[in-house]
Amino acid sequence: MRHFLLFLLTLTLAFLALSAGRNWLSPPELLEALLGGPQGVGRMVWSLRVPRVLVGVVAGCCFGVAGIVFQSLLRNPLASPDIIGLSQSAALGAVVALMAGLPIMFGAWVGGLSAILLLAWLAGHPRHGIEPRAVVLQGLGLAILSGAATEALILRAGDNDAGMMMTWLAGTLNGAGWPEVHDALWLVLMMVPLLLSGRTIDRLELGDDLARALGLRVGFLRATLGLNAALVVAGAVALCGPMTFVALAAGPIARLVCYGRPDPIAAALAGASFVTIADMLARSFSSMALLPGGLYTALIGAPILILAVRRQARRETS
Amino acid sequence: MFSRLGFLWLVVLLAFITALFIGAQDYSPAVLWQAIRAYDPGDAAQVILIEMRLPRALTAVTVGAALAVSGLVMQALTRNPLADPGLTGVNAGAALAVVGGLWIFGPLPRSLIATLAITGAAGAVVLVRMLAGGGDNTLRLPLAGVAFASLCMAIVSFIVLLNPEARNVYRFWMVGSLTLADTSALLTLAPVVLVGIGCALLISRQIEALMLGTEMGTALGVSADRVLSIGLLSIALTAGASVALAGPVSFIGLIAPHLARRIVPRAGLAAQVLLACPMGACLALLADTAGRRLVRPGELPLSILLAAIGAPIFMLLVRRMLRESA
Repeated sequence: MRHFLLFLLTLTLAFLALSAGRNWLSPPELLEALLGGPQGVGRMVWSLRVPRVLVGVVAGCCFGVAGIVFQSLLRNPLASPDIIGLSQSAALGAVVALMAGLPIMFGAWVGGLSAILLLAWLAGHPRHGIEPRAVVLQGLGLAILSGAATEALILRAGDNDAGMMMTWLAGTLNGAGWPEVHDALWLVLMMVPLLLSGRTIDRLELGDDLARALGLRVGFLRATLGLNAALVVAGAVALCGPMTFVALAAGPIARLVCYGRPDPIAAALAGASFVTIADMLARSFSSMALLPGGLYTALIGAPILILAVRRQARRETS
Repeated sequence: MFSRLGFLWLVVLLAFITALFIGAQDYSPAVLWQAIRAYDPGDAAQVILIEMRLPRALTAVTVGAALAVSGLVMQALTRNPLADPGLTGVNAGAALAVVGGLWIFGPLPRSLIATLAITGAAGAVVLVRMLAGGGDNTLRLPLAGVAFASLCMAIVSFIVLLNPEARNVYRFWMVGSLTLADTSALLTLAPVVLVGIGCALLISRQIEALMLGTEMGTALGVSADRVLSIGLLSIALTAGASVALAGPVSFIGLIAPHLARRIVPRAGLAAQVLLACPMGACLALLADTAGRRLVRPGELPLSILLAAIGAPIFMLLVRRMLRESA
């Protein structure tokens, strides 16, 4: 029921996003354009807005689901991929691939995977295993390092490329077309195990011993879920750049809706709604300079992060 | 201790002289010697050396020392070894205050920009400290700082993207660098930095007393509130001035105090302040020189180079800290 309501919300927002833009379409106009085939307004809608909204929804789902999986695995509401440096490393990989003429998605995957392996190594302890707190702190460093490397690469790129990359790095759906929708389909497939992992991550949150007693293979599940989530988030970065704070905000929202349980489906839908809203704002408020959608997600998401830190501080100090 | 201090300043002097010679075009020491003996405004090489690189190197020294002290005071007051004006969002707060001021009021005189930066830095210190809460805030302080910094930077990008014609002016406040270094700004802000360092020295004994615990400190006759407010003033003056001079620069405030503690492990806080200054100056000079040397004829901004050096050091520090506590 809750999933259905969230799904309806996402669907409504997606339709709103289809009618939003330089010229707004009323619902009948939109319906006519969608059904009328590729003439006139229909052509604009089908070739520009539909793929853009689709890519946004898929990318948002990716960010949301990866966000809640990491937050749950690391038992810290702040440990989302954009805080622990996965998004930034994927973006670095994507920029390198772009400059080398390789497929962007490939570069982002290499970046994201190397980041998570590096973090696991850095935060690993010979006796205690991987400590969540260490992952978060090391990830903060990794995020800054990857960000600096990306900036340096962009400075070396020509002026034309640099402007485009700056916008992309803030997170944007500009330029999303049907080829990107094809890439997005792969991500949808890769997301499936994560979407179905709700019960598993819920039990993993009970702690290693209890989860083991319930018959879960803790180490194996942690590793596969972590790698899968890293691939998904890197793919989303390749599609629309690192939209900051989507992954971070989607988790707490999903928990709010689902009585505190980590629910990947709810988080995915929350992420999709978030990206759709941000892109709508980006397209409707900035007719002159097209502000990247990622700026809006940062403006909305950063206060959520601040609130999360504040709450954690209250809980720990009281 | 004093021999080490002298040695460090000698290293700074060497780095300073290197910074003068190296750049888009390398010069020989002979040019400098000529410029000192008989300055000839018609000679391009001498003009570049004296009018551009000299102020720039002096600014690097000032900024480095300022950031090192502000990081050190922050680490001592919050009892968190990972505090740094960049990581805790203080630089970003200062940058936001400056960009906001420029956006609302148009071009401003130097002194007002500096005031804005210092006010912004002070506000950010108070806010982030409040957000992070007390207790063991090793993890929460940098997280709250990153959150606050990204919010500030998102607003800054917003303002920048809304005013494409002023993008070059604003960009300076997003990526710290020394490209805008000039003598008049330095003359205005160097005294501010000195006052900030003086504040830090003034309260170093009291901070040490408070580090034993607030009750113990109070029993020793130290007013915690007074120390906190002077410490805050010191952080705001040093971090704010460095932002006004070079934009937001991270990691000097993290690395320099740690290096200083390595050199004199058992020294008091005052000695650490004195040692951190040349350490920070040296870091800033070397990073700026390397940035100019690596991508000629362009340059890598100071902040990017420092992030590339500083982030791995941060990660190593974290690794060691957690190993010890585990």
